[in-house]
Amino acid sequence: MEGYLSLVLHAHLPFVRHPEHEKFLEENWLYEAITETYIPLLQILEKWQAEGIKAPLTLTLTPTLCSMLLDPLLQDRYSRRLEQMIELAEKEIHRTHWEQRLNSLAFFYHERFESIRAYYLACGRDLVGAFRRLQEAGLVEIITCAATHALLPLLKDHPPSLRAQILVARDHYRSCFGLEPRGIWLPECAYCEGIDAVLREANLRWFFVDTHGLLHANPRPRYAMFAPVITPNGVAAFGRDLESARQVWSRHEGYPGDPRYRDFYRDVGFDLEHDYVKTYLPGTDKRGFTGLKYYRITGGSAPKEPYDRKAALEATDLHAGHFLDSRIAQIQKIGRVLDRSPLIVAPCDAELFGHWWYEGPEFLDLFVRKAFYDQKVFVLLTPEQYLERHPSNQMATPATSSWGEGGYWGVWLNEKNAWIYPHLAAVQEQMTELARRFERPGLLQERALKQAGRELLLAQSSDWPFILRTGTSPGYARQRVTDHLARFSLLYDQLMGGEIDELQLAKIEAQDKLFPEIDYRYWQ
Amino acid sequence: MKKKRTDINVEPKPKKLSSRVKAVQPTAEQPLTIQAATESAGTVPRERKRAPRKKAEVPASPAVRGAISASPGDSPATQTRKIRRAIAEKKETPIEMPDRTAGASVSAPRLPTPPPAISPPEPKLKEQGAGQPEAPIKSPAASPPLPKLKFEIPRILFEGDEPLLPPESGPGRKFAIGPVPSDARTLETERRLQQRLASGKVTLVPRDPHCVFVSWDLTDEQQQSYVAEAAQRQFLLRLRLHNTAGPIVHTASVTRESRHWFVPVAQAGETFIAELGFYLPDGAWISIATSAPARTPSATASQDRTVRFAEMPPPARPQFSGQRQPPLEYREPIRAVAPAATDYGRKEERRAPARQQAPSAGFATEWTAAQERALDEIISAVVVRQEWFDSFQLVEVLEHRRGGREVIQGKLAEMQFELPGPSSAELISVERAKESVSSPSGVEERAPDRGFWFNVNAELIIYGATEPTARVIIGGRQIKLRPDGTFSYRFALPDGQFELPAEATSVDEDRRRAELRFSRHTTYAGEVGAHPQDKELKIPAAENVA
Repeated sequence: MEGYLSLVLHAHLPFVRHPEHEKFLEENWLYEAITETYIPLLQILEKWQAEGIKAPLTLTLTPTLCSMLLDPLLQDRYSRRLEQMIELAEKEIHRTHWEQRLNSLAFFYHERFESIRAYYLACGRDLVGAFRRLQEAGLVEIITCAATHALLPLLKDHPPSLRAQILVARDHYRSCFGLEPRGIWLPECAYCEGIDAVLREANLRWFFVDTHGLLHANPRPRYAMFAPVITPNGVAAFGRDLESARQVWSRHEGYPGDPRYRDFYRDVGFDLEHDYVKTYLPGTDKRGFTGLKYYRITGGSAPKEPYDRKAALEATDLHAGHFLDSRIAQIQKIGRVLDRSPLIVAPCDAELFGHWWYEGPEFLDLFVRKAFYDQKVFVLLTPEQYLERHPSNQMATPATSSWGEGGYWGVWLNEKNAWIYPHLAAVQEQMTELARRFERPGLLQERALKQAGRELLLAQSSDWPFILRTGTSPGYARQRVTDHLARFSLLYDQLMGGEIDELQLAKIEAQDKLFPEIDYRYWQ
Repeated sequence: MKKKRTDINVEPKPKKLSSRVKAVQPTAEQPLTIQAATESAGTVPRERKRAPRKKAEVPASPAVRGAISASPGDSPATQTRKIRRAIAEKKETPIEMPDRTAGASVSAPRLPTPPPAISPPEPKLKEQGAGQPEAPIKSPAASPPLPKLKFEIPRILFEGDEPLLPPESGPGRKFAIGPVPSDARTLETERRLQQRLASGKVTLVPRDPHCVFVSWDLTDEQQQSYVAEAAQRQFLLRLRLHNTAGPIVHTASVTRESRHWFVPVAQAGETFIAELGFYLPDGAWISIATSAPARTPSATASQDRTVRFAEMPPPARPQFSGQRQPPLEYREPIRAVAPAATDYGRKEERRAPARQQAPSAGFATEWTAAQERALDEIISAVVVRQEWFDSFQLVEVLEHRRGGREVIQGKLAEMQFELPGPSSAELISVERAKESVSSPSGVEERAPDRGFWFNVNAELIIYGATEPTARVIIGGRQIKLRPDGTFSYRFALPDGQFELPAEATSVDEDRRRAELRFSRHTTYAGEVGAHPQDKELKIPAAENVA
């Protein structure tokens, strides 16, 4: 054995839960991810477990994602959504009766959705519990993330906020998984000096930085990104490998762009008559994705060809083999230079596998099987297992960095979203003021303090400036930021004014319902 | 023995409908048909970050759609536009937030105004208004007038180097159809939130090695009261190096509506402070507020090559035991392991449990220069390719800056040797792609054998200051002064003779004149290259003074 490979999947979605609406379009982000990524991933992991494949993955399940997966309202709504998808697939089987290629796909989707439904019901709709069991069985190491995926370096000037994001996440992880988290995915891989001190306080042992976070570390790491460094506060920092990321991530040459793979955008929700599909759309009148997609990427300017599942899986097999060969060659090449076994850290957004790249779960499955059965050049392990084998590592301070465009904070701090930060700075100070003022609050005051903390955390989410930057749902993102800021301000004024409107508080609690045991004293 | 199991499993043939399939029947709790009135005015599903977009697909033509449906629905783009419009029409019951300015005849959603030098302002609904300042802030009258600095010249003046925002790119492009006005409720909420920002503070946040973000909390009324006193009816934002006594490295006049500014800075890894203020008509400088110091990230690999190892303490919970245990706290300090020239050879014993090593058993200290070079080559090769294929969408950044992919392709080999330095690891400097002033992105290869090399080049900066009301002519062309009377120009300086006469004329027709003459004559001994230089720079000639 000459080296190691650590596959890291980062599963995250912003907290989107709107009980005030019967149907809310953005909640579909969660439903799509469950159907196309989370359950397929669970099914694969359970197959590995059954077959004795020991190739543990590292998986982030962010606190907001766990909160949504555990939420009864969203569970109900997802169940309803699944039934709708199955019903639509059934209608499609009839509609496409005379179009054989589409008809076979309709059958395929019907079977797939049924399989997803069966799994969901079998695990009692508790996907967090399903992941927990797989962690207990050694198939996956689940790590945490900042409470609401805030870009932590932008909180550096307000240490209580930085602390709260980490400690609330740690507490939530304990409640979900019954263990201390050992690793953390820093949102957007964003790091600056000082964050490691808070990680240490939270008993976290390791995190990830982007490549230049290690290459520009001080002192310069001898092994570049092929071994972790230990920060002055005793936390290990693992660096992202570029070459492996390129093969999976690149929109130009990455595997997901192969013309045999399923096209993401062509969906019957857009293609078919509105009256026919409107019941199954994520919104009532607005067209959207249903999950039934009949076409492959095809390529070029020619009309789209129908999706050929067999050909797509053949491509998956080829790509998994290519990825394996590339890693073997890479590790052998680096291993000839280093005086220790190189480590390749390959992180990806989990939703890449299945949601964006429909065949991604099959790719992952095939790659891991090939890596487990067909080669002895590297072993798949988690960062924790690496540290068990190699506890001695070079000391260095990672460089300020993120994995976002430009390598720093430009995605989350630019002309489209800069207006957020003065507001955040103001309410962060107010939260600390509250936490210090109410050391022994009454029951109602404590409820208000906790909710104020939740609102602040939600306003700090990096997802809103990200969406504002990309322009995908700017109205929604803007509204979310202002809503959370406004709710916080309302609670602040009521707490400081000594009159808490319990009905209003209950309404906000029902609206932004997460982190039930949040400790507002973290902001002191 | 492991058995090879890598054959793919093709999905089984379609089968007939399972008897488990049941149409969902509407119930009282779970109506099958959702009423339109209850739908959110949401938008299309969010495009997750950095997911590799399938190749940009042209929406299917009606003919193609007709293969599925004789009556095709709206295209995704059309639907997206409708969804956007729906946001503006959205109505729902808000949770009221207190209006701390209740009673004031104010209706002023003060949305951020971007600095025009960096990007065009985002179209937003905006109204003017006048609320009452809530928090006491430093009064200009209370500030002792500072001595007038007639010739306060920034040490480094770089014009036209503001980093551009990267273009819209990535998965979000499909749905990026431009800013959508917020609905009335959101605007009202924003207005009220804005009125709560009155701390009078200036905050400086380094955004990247060459850009800092400065914001300030002033109400409209506070800003207007200052502007009314200012000589130029505007604020100045100064950026100083190191501390409040440090040299001014950037001065910008900011509009009265602005609440933040992105300031380009030349120096990576340096500490800055920001100061907001204005000049009184008599020339006295009034400082409104000053930020705390903040340091920009370093943009290059460290020159410190100290190697010291430490040993991670054992974890607080069993390794994947699956056994739950109460949370444990561990606070053991990490144990520094003294580097030792031990028997640690080129290859460690891979499976040896590391914790069984004695603390003194370090790693090889004999890390050779050959190893260093070999690793550098591996990294640099990957980094150069990273500029092509990364998940940061650097390709788009580069395309935007270099005018197209073909240019990038043509430069690929050159880029590999673009940056001089002791280690090609510095190629990872992502910010290099931004053509920052401190690392101009001209390309000049050095010896491919990576042996000793030497590049040199020269630039010229002309800068100065006079009365803001004076008229200045350089090279026969009148130039535009900054509001504080300063000016600067940056040129390439190749070999040759150059002259630029400069003349300033006051409003009283008092004149001052300077004849600037420059020459460069370079002699070389051995192989010397031209260091990369910003290609936008022109020679110091009259026609290049804009």
